Amino acid sequence: MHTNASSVIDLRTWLTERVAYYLDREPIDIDPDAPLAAFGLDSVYAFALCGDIEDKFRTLVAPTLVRDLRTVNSLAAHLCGAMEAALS
Amino acid sequence: MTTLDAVSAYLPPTVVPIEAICGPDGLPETQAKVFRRFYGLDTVRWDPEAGLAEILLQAVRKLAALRGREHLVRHVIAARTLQAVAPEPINVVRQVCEQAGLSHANAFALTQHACASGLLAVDLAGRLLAAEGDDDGLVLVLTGEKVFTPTAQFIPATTVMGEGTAAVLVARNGNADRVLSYATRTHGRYSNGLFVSHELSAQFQQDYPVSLAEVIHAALREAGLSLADLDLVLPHNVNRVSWSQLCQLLDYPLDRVFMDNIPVTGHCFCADPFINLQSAVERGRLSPGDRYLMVAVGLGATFSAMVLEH
Repeated sequence: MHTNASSVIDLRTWLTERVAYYLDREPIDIDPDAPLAAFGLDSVYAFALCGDIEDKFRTLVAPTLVRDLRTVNSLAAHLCGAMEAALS
Repeated sequence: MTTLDAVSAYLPPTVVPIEAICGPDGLPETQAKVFRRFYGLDTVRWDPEAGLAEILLQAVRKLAALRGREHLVRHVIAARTLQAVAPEPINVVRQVCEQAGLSHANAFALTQHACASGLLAVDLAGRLLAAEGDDDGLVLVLTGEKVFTPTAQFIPATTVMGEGTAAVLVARNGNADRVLSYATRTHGRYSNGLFVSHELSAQFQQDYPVSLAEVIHAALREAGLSLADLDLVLPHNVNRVSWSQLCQLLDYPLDRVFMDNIPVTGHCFCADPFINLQSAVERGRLSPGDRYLMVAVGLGATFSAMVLEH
């Protein structure tokens, strides 16, 4: 995994931008604590976001990751923890 | 008891990668990437040169068990998802009948269960023969469609559609695959199909595995069987993800769901379970006495399951 985006803040910013792209909204409109499904991020874009995560961090994630963790903040925390664990 | 005397499938020769369906009015590229990466979709088979009658006839011509028994066919049922398939006064089912030596048969189409209409047609065929007290009679069920327009070429966020077809010869008390049970449920709140609201669409995604599991259990109960008795599931070929999700819910092994055709054919409307039956038999996935399940879901929304014995 890459380490240059290992802070939760960086991850949150990047995830917010990807979610905003799929929803065709501005990143500022994405509440990092709101369930992504409530924004209208349906299953196909949840899978697309999983693909983005795999490509950016060169790792495999469960295809249900986005659905299971639900918010930008929980996703960022999970990915940060996974990266730290991989480095330790 | 209703039996499937014979099944034949036709896959058109033109192999179309799912990316070729992308375009301004077509499948969004992001969805194509997800379909390939997560949904297990790769290509579909289309026949741009052939009309609906021709692709259905290709399956009928491969049905060796029909030859010499045409006079025994009482009904021909075209099980379809799309209601309008030709301009008036063209009648595609009659065209097929005339070219297949079945002009004498009562012919009609059945679309009420959308992509689950194929299983409905098998059930109806058995009921018609039983009601007519006709032990020698046969019913020919035709499945598969043309993807005339983008609306018919893909279902957003769900799948891509192919033009594979299948012909099924249904009898009473025959020697081939016996239908042990059939269960079906129509959830009318989704009757707008592709055009339901975003909220209802999200609700459908949540309901989907639960509703499908319920109808599968209902069919198994009617057959006096449990999930453990099933040797194989012949699914719809919509995508792998929905089967993975369902198998988790059912605690049923994913490798007993026959998904070989998903990357090859995509979703061929009502034909999927029957195309899969032929493939499964060809590949030795079914042995005599094996119990298997055919499953179909139709937009609108109908969930259907049929238990059979090979």
